[in-house]
Amino acid sequence: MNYEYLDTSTADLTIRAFGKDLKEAFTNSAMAVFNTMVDAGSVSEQEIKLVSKKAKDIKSLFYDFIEEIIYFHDAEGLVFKTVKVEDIDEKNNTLRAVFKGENFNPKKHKPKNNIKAITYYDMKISHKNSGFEIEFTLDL
Amino acid sequence: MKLRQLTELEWEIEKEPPMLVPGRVFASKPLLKIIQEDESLKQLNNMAQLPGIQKYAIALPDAHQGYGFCIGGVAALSTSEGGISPGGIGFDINCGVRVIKTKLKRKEVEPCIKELTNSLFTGVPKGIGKGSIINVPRNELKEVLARGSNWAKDKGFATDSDLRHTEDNGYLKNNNPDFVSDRAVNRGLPEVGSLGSGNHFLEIQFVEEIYNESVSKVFGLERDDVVVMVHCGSRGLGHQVASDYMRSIEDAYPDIVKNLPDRELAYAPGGSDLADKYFKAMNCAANFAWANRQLITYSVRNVFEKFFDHSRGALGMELLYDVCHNIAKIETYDGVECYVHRKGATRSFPKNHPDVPEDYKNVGQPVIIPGSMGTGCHILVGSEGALKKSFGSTAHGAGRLMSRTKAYKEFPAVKVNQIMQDKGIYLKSETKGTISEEAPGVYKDVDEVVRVSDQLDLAKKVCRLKPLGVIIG
Repeated sequence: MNYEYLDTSTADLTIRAFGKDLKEAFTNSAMAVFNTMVDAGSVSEQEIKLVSKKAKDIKSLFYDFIEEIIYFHDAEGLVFKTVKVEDIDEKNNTLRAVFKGENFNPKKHKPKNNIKAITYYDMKISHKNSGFEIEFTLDL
Repeated sequence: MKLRQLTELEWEIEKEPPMLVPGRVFASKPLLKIIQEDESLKQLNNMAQLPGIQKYAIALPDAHQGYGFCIGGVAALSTSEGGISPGGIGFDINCGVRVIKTKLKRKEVEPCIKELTNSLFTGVPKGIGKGSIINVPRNELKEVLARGSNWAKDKGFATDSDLRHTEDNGYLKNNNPDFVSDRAVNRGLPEVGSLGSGNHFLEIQFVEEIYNESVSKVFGLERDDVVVMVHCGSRGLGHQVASDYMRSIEDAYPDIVKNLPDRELAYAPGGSDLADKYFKAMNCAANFAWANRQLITYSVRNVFEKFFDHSRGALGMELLYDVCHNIAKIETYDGVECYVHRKGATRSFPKNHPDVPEDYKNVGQPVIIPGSMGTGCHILVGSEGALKKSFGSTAHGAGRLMSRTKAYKEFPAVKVNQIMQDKGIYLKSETKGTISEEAPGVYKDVDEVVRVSDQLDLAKKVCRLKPLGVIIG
């Protein structure tokens, strides 16, 4: 399992994503967000967005990474299919990633949820036995 | 955490360090039981730790878990000793509700409710790929942010009467569009005049029951009158303003954030440059939300005119009132000027208050409390008790009862459609997911929330509205 929806939040949506390393946990978190907006399986890879972020700590870096998806959706009307996290530097809190998707098309994509924002509420980025786990809450 | 009962409907979380004031919960026993099931009271406890907080941190009868503050939460922070916290307002700045009246009666609308709802569904865009009412050029968006409903009026989307019947006349003048980031503007541009999705809705309702004849008369509402209710906010623009300033505050005040029990309580200290900037940017987002609801009103009127082949004047499509329920306002209580944070809370000002519109001066402002889509909504009137007990505030809705994941399991779309059909309500939605998330059983009992508000004199019951047609994004 790459990610799951948790039952802990009354108003919002809490997601737990897994990965063998931080890169994979970030990737699966982004996939969960894509699939919260529309079914990512219905999206084609026509537009490419390069993302490069630097933050003061890992949680802020994760926040910025997810916020970028929400931003591209609202500002440019994009929905996504895949993400490749090319590089994460845990010491300097930087990352580079590539999102691939296309313009939202109501004939092709069924909208699922409108995400207002990612929140810091109960955000956890933790190292577990065999990898990483990220827990975060979206305000819908 | 020690919870003590004060009266039948008032509870106190005793002040224990590091709380600076006690917590106050306005709820009946059954509502309190629900509130205790999530993190609301812990969040109330956290709110009570904010510097400059006055009297007590408040959870209203519809309180449920948010982030930072609970939703249905009120905290008045001194503008000098305290500050302003984006997490105390919410991402959807000036999320609010308005009611548009009509002269139509239930019996005229009920037989054609399906067709009318479908026409509204087509006529009111939902945003993102689903369109917005107008394309606003980038340089004009500043006008929207600076002037709110006044901009809409100049463009022919609003009347003088609309502005008079909107909280703050649909525009907060203490604003500065230069403090709204390009990212926020980019998110707002495609969404001027769009409903959004999630819990945002548009409903055709009728007046089912009147509790207070004389106030109802002043509001111009009679039994079986058809009204339209609109619930939405500042869309992506407001969400980005909140995100941007949470980050700026964190970066500027790491020491403050470090000592807070929750990162999302981060606040800009009163008197600081950042507090001023956030307040002015927040007011821009509030203006955007009013312009947005005004454009939707314009579209609703167009649809009705076409559908019934009468002018909006002949149809009596006047705005009853528009309230915002996610905002901070500068107000003075007991001689202390405060940022009154209302997160999922409605302002409830009584008669003769200077901020109540002239038409309602003798009774108090209309307070609109929507329930879940299958139950009903209430119109109340602002009352004195609110000024004494809750910094002029009352509840904003029914309040959620269960998580979205649980809602999917318990209320599949087919089941919800059946429930709505059995109730004689026509439901039109963009997605199946939203149908489950907004199922009537997912929310608390709005009648109970309103009863508590009425009994405590936070706002008095005027009439109950029942939906006929529901649109969710």
